[in-house]
Parts: sequence; structure tokens; C-alpha cells
Amino acid sequence: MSESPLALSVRDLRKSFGRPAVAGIDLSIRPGEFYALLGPNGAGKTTTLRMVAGLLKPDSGGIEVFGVDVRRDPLAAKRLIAWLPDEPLLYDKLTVTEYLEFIAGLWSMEPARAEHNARELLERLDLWAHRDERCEGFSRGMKQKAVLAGALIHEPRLLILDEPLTGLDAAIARQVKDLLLERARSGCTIILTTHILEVAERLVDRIGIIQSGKLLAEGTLAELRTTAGEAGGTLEDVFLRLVDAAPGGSATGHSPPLERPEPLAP
Amino acid sequence: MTLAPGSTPWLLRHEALLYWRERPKGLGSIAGLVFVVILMHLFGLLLAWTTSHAPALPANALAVALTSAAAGLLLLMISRSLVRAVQVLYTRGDFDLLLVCPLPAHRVMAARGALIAVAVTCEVGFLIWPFANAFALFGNPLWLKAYLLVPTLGLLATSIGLLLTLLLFAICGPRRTRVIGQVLSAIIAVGFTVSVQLPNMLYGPSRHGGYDRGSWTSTALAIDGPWFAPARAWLAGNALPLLLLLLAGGLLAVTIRQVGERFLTAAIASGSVSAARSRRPASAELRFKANARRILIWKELRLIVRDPWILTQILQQSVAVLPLGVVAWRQSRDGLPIVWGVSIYLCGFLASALSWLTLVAEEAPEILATAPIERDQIVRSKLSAALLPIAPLALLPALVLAGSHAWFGVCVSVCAAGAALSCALLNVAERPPAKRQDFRMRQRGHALRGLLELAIVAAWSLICWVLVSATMVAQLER
Repeated sequence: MSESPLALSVRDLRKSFGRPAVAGIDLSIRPGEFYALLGPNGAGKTTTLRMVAGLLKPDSGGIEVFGVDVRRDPLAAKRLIAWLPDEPLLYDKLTVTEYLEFIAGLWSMEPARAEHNARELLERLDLWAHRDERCEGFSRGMKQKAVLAGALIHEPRLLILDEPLTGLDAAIARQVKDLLLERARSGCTIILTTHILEVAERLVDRIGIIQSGKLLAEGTLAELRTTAGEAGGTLEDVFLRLVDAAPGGSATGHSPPLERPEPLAP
Repeated sequence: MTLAPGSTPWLLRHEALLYWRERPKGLGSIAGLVFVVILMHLFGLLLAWTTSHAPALPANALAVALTSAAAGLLLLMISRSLVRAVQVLYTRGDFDLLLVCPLPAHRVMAARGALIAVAVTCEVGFLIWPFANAFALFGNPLWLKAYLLVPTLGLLATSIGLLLTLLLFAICGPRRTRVIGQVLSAIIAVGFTVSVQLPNMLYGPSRHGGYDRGSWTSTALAIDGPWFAPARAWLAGNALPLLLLLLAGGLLAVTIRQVGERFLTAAIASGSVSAARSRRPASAELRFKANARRILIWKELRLIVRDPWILTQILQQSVAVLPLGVVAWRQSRDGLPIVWGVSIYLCGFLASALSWLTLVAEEAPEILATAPIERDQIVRSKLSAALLPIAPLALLPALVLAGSHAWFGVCVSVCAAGAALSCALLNVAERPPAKRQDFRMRQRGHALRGLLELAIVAAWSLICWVLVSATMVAQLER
């Protein structure tokens, strides 16, 4: 394992599904950083994050999580990561408690520690009263909270979230945002993708904008404003300016999605 | 041809398009289907050829056979149409769209009802028509009437299936109808087996071909009694079969017209079922287990046990073992209870079904894919979860027969366990994750896998037979 100060280091990452979906992305994310990856549909955000989480094999390039090479030692890397997809992954016939017990078991947590974390998360996310209810009757927001509790129960050092706030009502979205900020402050590195630019603008430390599988720009909001020549502009202004200015780029008339599912290797 | 938007034929075309698109894609699936059709024709031809020299059945015996076969097929088709009608209620798909569109309810239902009738007819016709073709080729044109009989029964069964579904909905409510419908469908399917075997059970084979008159001579069940008069009339000409087909079509049309509105109301009510949550008293403390393997096994078992729909599907498909059981029971010789041999098939089938659920129909594959746990460990745990519930069933023959036919019992148990393990291993090969609700159609597009399963079960049955026969021969020689 090489010594690396970075929470996530991505070097010249490439993935193609007939056409390039990710075409040589470099990312350097520091420990404790809250980072947003933005881009139009089909830009390669989810493909990039799925490769980091070990759900897709890259065609080429390197990924290191806290110095652990994801391709060389996937199990060690997975111990450090939590992945939260845009669609809540739950077992409908399990209760929330059983779901959390299952996740804790997969990450080989000490039962006492897992029980403590589960209780804390269930109370924090207002799920304690529903702990023995099966997930099949949950609303989308409750499912998303249950999945978030599952992602956090094993104390990941790198939390990857794909569109975590899509379809949530204002109250649940606030709960999720508060919890994410709390985790970021306590040292957890968080990467998220979102189409809600206001969320990225308010929550994150740095933003990366990708288009057609390439990183267009990266930095704090202030740095991006400078890059885009949009002093005082909102993130939406900056985003549209950068994406539209990119070769062949259009934030609205984007190309069809490149990502397609691959058989998963658990 | 341009169809008027919103008309019944237009809706029918929409339904047909969806039905067509649901089929497994690719040249392989079509080739597999063609292969199975050819295979069934060959089997039919072989059967027709081997029986072509036998004396023709007397008309009254033919009427008995036709009555029992038609009753059996009708029960099977009612069972299938009940499942499909319940599916219409609970599988939302585009149904919500159809429910909110400004079309008369009976028109939407006419399209759905027609699709159920066509699907049920084709499913059974697929099994019957190749034999009808083969027997017709060998000089039995009467068999071609199967092309009228099966659609008639399909239309009748669809009417009954729709009415039964509504009745269940009214009695059991939206929450329970789905599961109870599945159970009822399984029970009705059992009736198919009994009905097909009924003539053999009641009359027994006659030395002159057909059936022996048995002890039923003076009752309505007498071979030439009134029970079989409709079948005799049906066999006598073509007018009655055609008239019955038209009547069955008319009955379905009237049923849809009369209950269409109520069926759609039930569908709307069923849509709110998932929103309701069952409440259980919550435990005060959390008690987690530590062992990943145990947790994986528990998770799989919980998911199976808590899904009544899956359980009833398994029960329904297990019913297929009954005809085999009846045949085995009738073949029992020398006091050897060979009916226990059926457990080899049952264990193989159950292992295949459960391992499909645990290995292929993983609901959250990304959780396992991102967990720091080796794939081999996951597969082993999932296999254990699939085989654990089958273990008692595999052990049963050895335990029950310990006092009377110990060696036979041990052989059956060993071979049942072997069949279970072999069939379960078939699902280990990596393939795209499937949805649990596709359980019923898991072999769709995998005809070869289905044949392989049958071959495995047949091989283990053969091993069992060889082991038992060799021992019996050795004992006789001594």
C-alpha cells in the first residue's frame, strides 16, 4: 500500500461502452472534503463513481482510496467505502433493524458497536419508531433514509452518493443534508452527484464539472466563477456557461446516456 | 391497417405488442422455442406411431377420456387465468394510465380479458396441439378438434378466472386476494391431475381396449351414462364444437361487459395496498449477530418465508409432481414404495427454485458488490440458504422407510440430496440479476437450463434405480 494523503485519487480513468463514457478523468479529493461531481445526463458521473465503488471495472487508469489500490486490493478498499445509489437498495421483506444488522454483518462489525451506531442513526433519522417495520410499506423518503443509515452504520471513511436527494420532500431532504454535513465535519470524505445545483452550492467544499467523460473544471465555487467569467453568478450560471462553452457541449441538448448496466460480480 | 385510437382492436394491438415485447429477446430464444415445438411433435409422432396398430377406442370410452381430459384442462386453465387476472389487479405497469384515460371500463377490460384468454389458450395449446397434429397424421383426424376444444376451454376458463378473482377480492379484500388467489390457483391445478387420472381410478383398463365398466354401471357415472353425453355429442359432429366455441366467446364478452367496471374498481383499490404498513410491536433493544455467513443465510430465509407470493408459486409449481406421484403409486410392485422416488424430483425442483431466488434474484446486488466480502463466501452462504429447507425433505425417505425398506430409503435420500445439490449448482453460474417477481417465468429464455434440470433429476433417479435393483438382484442370487 502506497502512502497517500488523499481520500480518493483517480488517475486517467477510462471506461467505454462502445463509445467512451469516461475519457481520462483525474480526481484528487482530500480527507474530510465534501465534493460534488456535476454534469449533464450521460456525462459519466455515475460511471466514474461506480468504478470507484468497485461496481464497474475500468478499462484503464488507477483508483486509490486512502492509498489502497481499488483494483489490486478491492476488499480493503471496500471496507473504507459506502455507496449510496440513486434508487434506494433495500430488501422489502426485511425490517430496518434487520437491514442494518445485515449491512453491519457484511462489513464484519462488532455487534455492540453496530447496535450502538444503528440506534444512533435510527433516532437521528426519525426511524426509531419504525425500526421493526418491513421496508415494503415505506415511502421513498423513508427508504432513502434507511439506505443512508445502512451506508453510515459501518463508519465509512469515503461516502459516495449518487443523486441522494432526488424525490425527497423538503423535510427529509433537510434531515439528509444535515446528517451529511455533520459527517463531513467529523472527518468523513463525501462525494456526491446531483442535479440540484443549489444543494451543491450550499453544501460542498469543491465542485468538479464533467462533460462527455472529461473533467471540464474543478474548484471552489469562487474558483469556478473565475474560470467561467461569471463573477457573482450562481452555480447554475457557472455550470451552464462551462458546459455550453465545452467542445460539442450543451447542458440542455445533451447526447443520449452512455451508461448501460453490466452483470455485477458481488 | 389503421385502427381507431381508443377502440377495442386498438387496445388489443397495444396489449399484443406488450405481450410480444415481454418475451425473451434474441435468436436463441426463438430457436429454443422452435426446438421444443419440433421435439414435442417428434414425441407425438412416436406416440401416435406406437399406438397406431392398437384397436380404436369405443365411442363411450372415448367420451369418458374426453370428459376427464377436458375437465382437467379446464381446471388447469382456470388456475392459469386466475393467476393472470390477479396479476392484472396487482401489477401496475401501464394499468394506472389506462385507468385514468377517458375510455369505457369494459373496453379496457375487454383488451385485458382477451389477452388472458389468448395467453391461457396458447399455453395449453402449446402442450396439446403438437400431439393433435401427430395423431391426425396417423389417421386420427378427430384429434384436430383440439384446435376447437382448447380455445373453447380457454375462453370459458377466462370468464371463470375473472369472476373468481372478483369474488376473492370481495371476500378477502385487496391485501389478501393476491396470496389467496395463488393458493386457490394451486389447489385448482391439483384438480387437473386428479381429473386426468379419474377414468383410470374409476374404471380401470379393459382387456378389449377402453375402460372396464367397474362398479359404476347403474349410476350416472356409468360409461354410457348422462355425465358423458355432452362429450359423445361433441365427438359426433362439428356443429356442436363450433357452437360451444361461439358460446364461450359470448360468455366472456358478457362477463367483461358486466364486471369490467367492478374489476377496475378493484384494481384501483389494490393500488393502495402497498402504501399501507403492517405494524408490529417494536423491540426495545437491538440485538445484532456478528457472523456474516449466518447473517447472509438468515437474510435469504427471511426473504423467502416472508413472501407468501413466492411460497404459493413454489407450491403451485410443486403440484407438477403429482402426476408423477400418481403414476409411481400405481406402479408400486413387490411392496416397494417407489412413490418415495418422487422426492428426488421434488428436491431437485425445490433446490432449483430456491437457489434461483437466493443466487439470481438478489434484490440488492450492489450492496453485496460493494461489501468487503469474497464472492465465493456469498455464493456458499446463498447455496446453504437454498438447500437448508430441502434437507428435511431429502432425509424423510430414509427416516420413514428405516423400519421397512431401509436400503431403498437411504438410496432415495442420497439421490434426492444429490439432485438438490446438482440443480442448485446450475444457478451458480454468473448471469444478470433477475427480479423476484419473475420467479414464475424464470425458465423463460433458458429452455436449455430447464432441460438440463430434468436431465439431472432423471440421472439421479436412474442412479437410485440402479442402486436398488442391483441390491435386489444380489439378494435374489444369495
